[in-house]
Amino acid sequence: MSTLNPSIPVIGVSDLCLSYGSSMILENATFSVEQGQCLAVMGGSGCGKSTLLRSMVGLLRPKSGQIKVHGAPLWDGRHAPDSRILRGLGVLFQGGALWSSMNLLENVSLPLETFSGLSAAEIKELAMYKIGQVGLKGAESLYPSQMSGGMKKRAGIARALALDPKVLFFDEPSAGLDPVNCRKLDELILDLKQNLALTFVVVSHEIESIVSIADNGIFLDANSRTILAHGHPQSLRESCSVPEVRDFFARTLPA
Amino acid sequence: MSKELKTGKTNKPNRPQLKIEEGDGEYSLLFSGDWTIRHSKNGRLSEFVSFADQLSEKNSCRFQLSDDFAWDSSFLLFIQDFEQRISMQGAAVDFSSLPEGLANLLAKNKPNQSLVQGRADLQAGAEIDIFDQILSGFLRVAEFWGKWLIFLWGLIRGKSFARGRDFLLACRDCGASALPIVTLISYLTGLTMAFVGSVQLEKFNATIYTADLVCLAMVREMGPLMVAIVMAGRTGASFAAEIGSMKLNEEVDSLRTLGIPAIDFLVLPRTLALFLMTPLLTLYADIVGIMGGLTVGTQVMGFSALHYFEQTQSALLSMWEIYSGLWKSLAFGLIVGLVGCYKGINSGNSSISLGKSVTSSVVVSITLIVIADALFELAYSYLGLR
Repeated sequence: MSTLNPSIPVIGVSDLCLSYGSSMILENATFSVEQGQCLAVMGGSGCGKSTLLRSMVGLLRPKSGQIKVHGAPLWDGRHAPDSRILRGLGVLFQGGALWSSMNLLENVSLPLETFSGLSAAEIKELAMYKIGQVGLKGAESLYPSQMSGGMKKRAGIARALALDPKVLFFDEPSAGLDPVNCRKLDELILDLKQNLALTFVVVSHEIESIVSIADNGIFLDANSRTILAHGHPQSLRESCSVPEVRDFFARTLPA
Repeated sequence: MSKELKTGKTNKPNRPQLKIEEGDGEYSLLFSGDWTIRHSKNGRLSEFVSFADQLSEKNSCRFQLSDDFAWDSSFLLFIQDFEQRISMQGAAVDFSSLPEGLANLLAKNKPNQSLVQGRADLQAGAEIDIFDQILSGFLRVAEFWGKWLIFLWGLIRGKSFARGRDFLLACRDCGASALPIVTLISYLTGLTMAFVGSVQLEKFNATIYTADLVCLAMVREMGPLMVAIVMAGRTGASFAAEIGSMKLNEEVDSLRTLGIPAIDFLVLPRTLALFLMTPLLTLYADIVGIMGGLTVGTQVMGFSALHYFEQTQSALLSMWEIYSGLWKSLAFGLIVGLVGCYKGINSGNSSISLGKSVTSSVVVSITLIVIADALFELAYSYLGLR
């Protein structure tokens, strides 16, 4: 994989159309995410943010269009996405989606056991490091059912980081968290972005969180099923002329 | 003109009442009493309809409430219906003397188009005709079966994500943990068959042949069938529930995002464990069933244990009698494992569909087991193996 070629965007999406059965969700979406960037996918409920994310992480085949990861097409013909490309993408699902039959350490170790070929001791050491990185040291033996919502999200991040992916996808990281934990999670994301030079795609409608972590954003709209606006969240907030985007940031009701 | 409409059959002091006064084509409707959900509007609706129907464009209706008036959302719906009927006749409606909260709620209770629109499209898209459903169902089964075979081939060649640990755990869950229930059921099956058989054989003075009856029935038919049915209700259902709830919690998705196929990682160890454990349990059930027969033979019919065993041994003309049942149980184990996992993987994203998947995994497994059993017997007798 040509991961270090700066001229190729990390994620390149062109003319993407997504649908569930016969109903269209998103039409002709084109955007790209550069190395080290954090792209926020914004929009109201039901506008297709999570659907777009599912397609970008290899869970939903697009109706048409192309998604390229480091220049390599993710959806190639009728085949399932290449496992090697998928391993370069870490995903945090909305509820954490930890494997409930395994404890935290096993959850983080599983991707390493499956793909790294390291010895058991090395895997454990690496997994413990990832767990410490998200601030869950001491919780290794807890099962998902014994964790709080915030812990599950952090555990989900630790697992997403397990294979040292170059891109992380977060689906509504702040959903269901109190303001303080939400802020802590933002700090963790900024920390990872700064120290590991990771690229992020974050689906969210938490305005404060978006503005503090993202340096690029796209705004999806449920009615037109397109990308309505594109740009830095702060500048979208201050000077976007599209009424839907203005309403979103100002929390006003549509006229 | 003034008239009172009877409202409901209740005689309670605070019963809902409506007083209508007319002056120069203008009606004043005075509501009083308890207009809440406790007082059904049945019985008064027809009278309101006939009142509304006699109105015309020249009339207007003014809604008023008395001091002792009480209302809840049932009144809101009633008054909305009433207003619609009056408006249909072209008469004017005046809500100005209603309390502010009620008037606001009335104005807001219109379907919100923008919220509903997108989801209605989704539902419209979901309406597919029955032939498409059957065809797509058939294709899904074929796809699952095909993928399972491909991943099995991968496992044989040593290229699989399935973990040995998961296989051993599944073996414990569907093998060793099932021993108590299998023991109970097969022991009682053997016991019952011995009782029923001995009553008939006694007529011919041939009660010792109870041993033959129990032994042959257990190893050929009842052993494999009973174990398979227990497995369908116990293990197949738990596979469907386990994998279905993993799907519900996006756990299956998180495997897929790592490039780990769910059929390889989750289905293969479980189905193979059941495939191997079912014949072992069947062999065990055969022995326990014969013990059930032995209990009746020695305790009720008075044979010695040795005599009973000798008779049992003579009933088994060859090892094929036992193998024929074990071949069946291999197929039954595979059926239960595949159906349970298929139902789990294809369960929808709601708790209702998860429940349906679990139920149908048991129903489909048992149906397929009985069909397969009949086919095996047909094949055995056609090939001269019986």
